[in-house]
Amino acid sequence: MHVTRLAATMLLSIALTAPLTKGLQAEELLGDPDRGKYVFRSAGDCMRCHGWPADGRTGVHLRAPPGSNLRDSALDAEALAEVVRCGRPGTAMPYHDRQAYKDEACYGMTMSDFDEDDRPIQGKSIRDEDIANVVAYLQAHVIGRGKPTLEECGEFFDDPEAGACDFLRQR
Amino acid sequence: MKMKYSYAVLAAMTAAGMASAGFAQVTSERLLAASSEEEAGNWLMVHRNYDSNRFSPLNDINAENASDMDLAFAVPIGGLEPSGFGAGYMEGTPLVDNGMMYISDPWGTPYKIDVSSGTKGQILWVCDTGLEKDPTAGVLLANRGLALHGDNVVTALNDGRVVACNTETGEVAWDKQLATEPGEGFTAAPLAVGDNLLIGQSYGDWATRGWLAAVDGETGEEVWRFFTVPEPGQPGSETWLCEETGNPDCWKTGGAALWVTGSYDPETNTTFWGTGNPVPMFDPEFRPGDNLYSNSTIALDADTGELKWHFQYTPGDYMDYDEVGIQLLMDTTVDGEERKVLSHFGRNGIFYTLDRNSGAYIQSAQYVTELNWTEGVDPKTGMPVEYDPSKSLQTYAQGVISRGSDNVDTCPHITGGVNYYPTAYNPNTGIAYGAGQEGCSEIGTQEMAADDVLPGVIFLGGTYASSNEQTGSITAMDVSTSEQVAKQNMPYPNHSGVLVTPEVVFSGSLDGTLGAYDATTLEPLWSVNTGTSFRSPPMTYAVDGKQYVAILGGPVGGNANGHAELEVMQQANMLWVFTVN
Repeated sequence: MHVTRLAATMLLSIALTAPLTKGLQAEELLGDPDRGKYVFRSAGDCMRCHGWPADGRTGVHLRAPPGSNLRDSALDAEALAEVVRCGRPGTAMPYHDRQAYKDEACYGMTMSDFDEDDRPIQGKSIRDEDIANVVAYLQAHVIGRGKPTLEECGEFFDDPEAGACDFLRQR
Repeated sequence: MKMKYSYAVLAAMTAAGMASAGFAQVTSERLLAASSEEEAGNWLMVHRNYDSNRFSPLNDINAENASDMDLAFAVPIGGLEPSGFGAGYMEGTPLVDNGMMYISDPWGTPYKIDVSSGTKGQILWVCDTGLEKDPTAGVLLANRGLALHGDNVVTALNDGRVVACNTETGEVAWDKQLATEPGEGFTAAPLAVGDNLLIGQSYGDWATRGWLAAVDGETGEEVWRFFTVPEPGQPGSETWLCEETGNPDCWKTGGAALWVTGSYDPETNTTFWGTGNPVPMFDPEFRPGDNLYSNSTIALDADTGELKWHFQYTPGDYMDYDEVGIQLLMDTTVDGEERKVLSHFGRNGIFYTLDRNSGAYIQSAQYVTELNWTEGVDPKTGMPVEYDPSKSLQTYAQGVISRGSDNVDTCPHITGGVNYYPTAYNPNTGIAYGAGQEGCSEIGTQEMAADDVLPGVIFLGGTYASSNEQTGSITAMDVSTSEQVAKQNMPYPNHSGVLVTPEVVFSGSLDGTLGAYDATTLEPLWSVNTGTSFRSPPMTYAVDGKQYVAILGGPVGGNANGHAELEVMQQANMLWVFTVN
């Protein structure tokens, strides 16, 4: 994985300006937040870098590149879905649509547009409806929230006694 | 969370303990003689001997016949249950006492395996430590081995408990909650010294403060404790300029943890331990100063825990160049003079030799292929030449990372060099061996408000990425001269470490290959691929005069380092034992 600052800046600007050429439209994004929580928790491996509260910190793996703080995210549903689907080339955020970069549906680019060292990273495959579910979960339970709370932690793990919440009990 | 034991169970344990009185105890006398001829077939402590040399005199498997090595037997091991970080790592070294093997799984659970037949490993018991295997807990599962002490085998657990299991019955003899602060816990094997067990607090990066404790080996009662981050007013506290940050408590989350078992010199009753990085690893502005005793070798009186000396390798670090790895003790000749020395393969890519009685710097040499973080080491002080003791924030050769600055490419990689991966030394030839990672990483700082720092939650203060292909190597260094005498490059980072015998060096690979190498040239003699990733070191033992090589394999976890063929490896915890028939 080669992440250069230059590449990251360039591609981020593309990500924020490129029109959506394909992908989930607003009416398709009415996902199920409960199912989305499950996907976030297990199927998508999101927690490794974003942590369970998606703050890019809490519960992040020691050797994972800390992900962005989604609690502060300004992205709307379509933009969130695109990032999950296509990843953020030049950063450690992987793409989760196994068809990504086979055509120009992601930021108008295909895999051959990237230098070998800067190619987007493939993450675990997530189906379109589950991408919508994850986005629904982020919008319902993550974005705009402040610091993680004990109650939220217990709800996330469906277990008020979850060990991941210990630090909040001690506070 | 803790398992409670009834009086009836305790009484039964006592009876079992008495019944085993005829069993060969692992006394302090035996441990002091761990490298004697009588113990040649055994491996009684994690680094085999107090000098941590991981040298075995067994030579039935040698440079001539190593190519004939074959599988003797294999044993599946448990402990694959994940924490919040996924399945844990097999990083332990098996112990062997007269045909009985003791190993631990990633949760620190001890197993006793009868290996006396030479054809099968029969599990005799699995000690129930009562550990709660919480799948949500953000804890790094890595257990690096056990200690034999008297009638017990002792494990230090990630939940901060120390548990002694009777070697005969596998019943819990005692159970002590030694670490009590949020985030604290253990990864390293305890070190049995005299009546005590020495145990280091490991999880510094979870915003905790490192310490080494001695506990009574029969009861677990604490005897002394040395904090690796001094509190205000203590010597060394002047190297934590917390007031400058508006966060006067920055020392409380300062890390300097102990991840790997130390060494012991009976002649001076001194124990030597390597300490971890200052926390947060990537944001020195949170903790200005040299940050003693992070990234150091510390020498302590084994009876009192009093600090005798320290040597800090990378002061005011921001590259995660912690120095938790093995502290090799040896007597050698430097410039025609007999010296009692301590040598250490630094995670910072430099091989150091110190006077082990004073901590004085003797000499050093680069051992990794690529090193750019310093222009070199001051030949008088051993400090990086860029080091300026008058500064509260150090700037090394590639420039400092600071809040808002550009990222920095630093070599070796933040993982090392040699990290926790055990090193070895052959006292007959004077050659030390280190295996590790070759490559570079890009690091950057992310500021965190002091109010948001919570003990028990990982606190890095920044981020990193590998900036080129990560490979591995084994390097042989002549301790007397600090000259590199051989090097074997490998396609994958080496997280296994090394074992050395009179003619052969053994080491594992992340792709599941176990190899034997000529101890003089490091040319490959033999290898086999097992399919289980090796993050643990090989060891060797003998039963009925026959030599075996054993190693624990497990998941590669998050350590594929960009190698797609490692990413897809599946999970299995295994004990592998090889021999020459």
